[in-house]
Amino acid sequence: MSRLLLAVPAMLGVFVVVFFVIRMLPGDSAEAMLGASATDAQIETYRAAHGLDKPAPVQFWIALKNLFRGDLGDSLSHYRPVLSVVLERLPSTIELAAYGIVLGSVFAVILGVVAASFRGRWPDLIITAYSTFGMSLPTFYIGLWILMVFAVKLDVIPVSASAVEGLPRWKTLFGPVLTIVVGGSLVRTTRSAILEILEEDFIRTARAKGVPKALILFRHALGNALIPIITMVGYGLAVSFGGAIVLETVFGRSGVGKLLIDAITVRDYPLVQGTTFVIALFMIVANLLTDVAAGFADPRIRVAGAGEL
Amino acid sequence: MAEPFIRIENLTKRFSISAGKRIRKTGFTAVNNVSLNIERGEVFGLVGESGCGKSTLSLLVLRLLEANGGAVYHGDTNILELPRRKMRRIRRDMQIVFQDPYDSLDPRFTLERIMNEPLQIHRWGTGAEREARIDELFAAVSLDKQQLKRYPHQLSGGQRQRLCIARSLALSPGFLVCDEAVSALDVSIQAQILNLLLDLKDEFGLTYLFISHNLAVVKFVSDRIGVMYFGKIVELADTDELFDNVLHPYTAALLSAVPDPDPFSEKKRDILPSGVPSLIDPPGGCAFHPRCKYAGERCARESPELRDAGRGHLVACHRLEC
Repeated sequence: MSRLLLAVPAMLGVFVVVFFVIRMLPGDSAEAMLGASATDAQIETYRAAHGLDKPAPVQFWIALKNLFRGDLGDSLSHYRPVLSVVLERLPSTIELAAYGIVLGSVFAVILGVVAASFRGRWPDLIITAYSTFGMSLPTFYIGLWILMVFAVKLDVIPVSASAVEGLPRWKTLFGPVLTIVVGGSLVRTTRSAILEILEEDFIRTARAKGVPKALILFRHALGNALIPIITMVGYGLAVSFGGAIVLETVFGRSGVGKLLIDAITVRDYPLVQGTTFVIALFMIVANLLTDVAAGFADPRIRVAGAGEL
Repeated sequence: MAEPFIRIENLTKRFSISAGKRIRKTGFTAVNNVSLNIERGEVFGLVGESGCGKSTLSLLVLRLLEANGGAVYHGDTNILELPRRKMRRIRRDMQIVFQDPYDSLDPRFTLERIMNEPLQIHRWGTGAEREARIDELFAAVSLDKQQLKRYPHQLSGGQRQRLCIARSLALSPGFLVCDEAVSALDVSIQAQILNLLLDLKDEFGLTYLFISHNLAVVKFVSDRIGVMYFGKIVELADTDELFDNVLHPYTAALLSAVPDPDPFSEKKRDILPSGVPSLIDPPGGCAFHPRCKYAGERCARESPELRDAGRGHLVACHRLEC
């Protein structure tokens, strides 16, 4: 509950930083919108119409008041309220993040468990090498390779998802989700968490009880490894919203990330603010979810939180 | 005496360590050619300072660690040669209580699940029977069954160790290894747990291998005691015989280190020069000779055998041979 309250100043902080940072950039939306041929008079008119002629603190005050009314302002490039533009793009990004995180986690956890149970032998070496490789490559590079192989050579997915109408769902998700899966660092987290837990005394207790190896691995070891794994997944979820900027650009999906990039290009202040704000909100929600999930995985955290001892 | 219940023969465990960049493999022998018999119904105490191989020995006996050589007989089966499935069956009869009751319980399991798991794995009885069995065990170690829904971290150290004991007894084993089972507890709780272990021994007809670095504790519970130094048994005798007639200089040093409750007694302590020899580069001859005040030229040359010095009192020391 207190975590929820802490989210409020965090959101305000994000709002302040984004507001002033974007105004420190050279050029403004009047110039970007009207083009190089615009006269000074046209630019002045545009600025007055959109409140850009007022000093920055005044603009900030107006924006803040509107924020509390749930109004993120009007987009300068879409001629619509920012909120409706962002909400329209949001499902696409959520879909991408959800599939990426779920498939990526399941895949990574399985590989991590396999690697840990074969510690030091060839399956472990292959998996570790693969995950180090995937982690070291930048997302856009992996994405381009996937496009190269699956879109150009094999021709099973389109090069740009938004350019083709009426594609089956999986074709639009395949590329970016695969990129998330390959680039994930969760394999190593899982592997090291499980190896650490396998050294614990209670694993020896389980062996003395005669618990079979597979059960030890999945019931005792993985169960306890879930705590660090969940933390990493939560972090991955938060980061995936930022990662969406790259993935959506590479694979041509029209989600929130692509929206942000376009908004920055045309200096659409309200839209940049609104999009960033929503992304930040999702990161905070992802963190909250992580805490809740960690509570389910670890009775020690749960009980301490309930204040009953 | 009858056929020994657990017979350990020439048990050896070497560990290898890779040192430095060149991954030059060196190794040391944690348990070196140990043989001993544990009779049914007795408490066999094993003492020695830290690093002497006591715990390694206990893990080897239960095959929680694979030995490099030797044999462990349970009745007439050598358990080190058993296939995995048969080994699992025999685990019902051989259980262990570890030193640290904080680490040896899965923190995500309720007490009920901890107790139930061994019963389920070995397909013991029906659900109701298992429940009754858990009640019975909780009663035996005086734990409150109201606590079954709780988690280990909600218990005190003593309660946890009771739980570990109850858990180890779930499948009615005949043989129980207590590896420093009381060392992690407060002294007052130690006495409680020791008494509990002795009561349970009579109640369930148990045989113990009781491992500790604390000679007073071992004396209190054991029928026979083995003293371990540097991976070997250096002295082995009935408890009374050992304390009345110390033969090995290492045992003598251990004994003199036991605190005396009388503040005015001026006991002469036999203080050992510090420094256990390096395991990786062991001294030649008798492993104890660098610290032994009686050490002679022969001790540096050859390692003494474990010999009977009369009345079943075994000792490995050259001083007693001439």
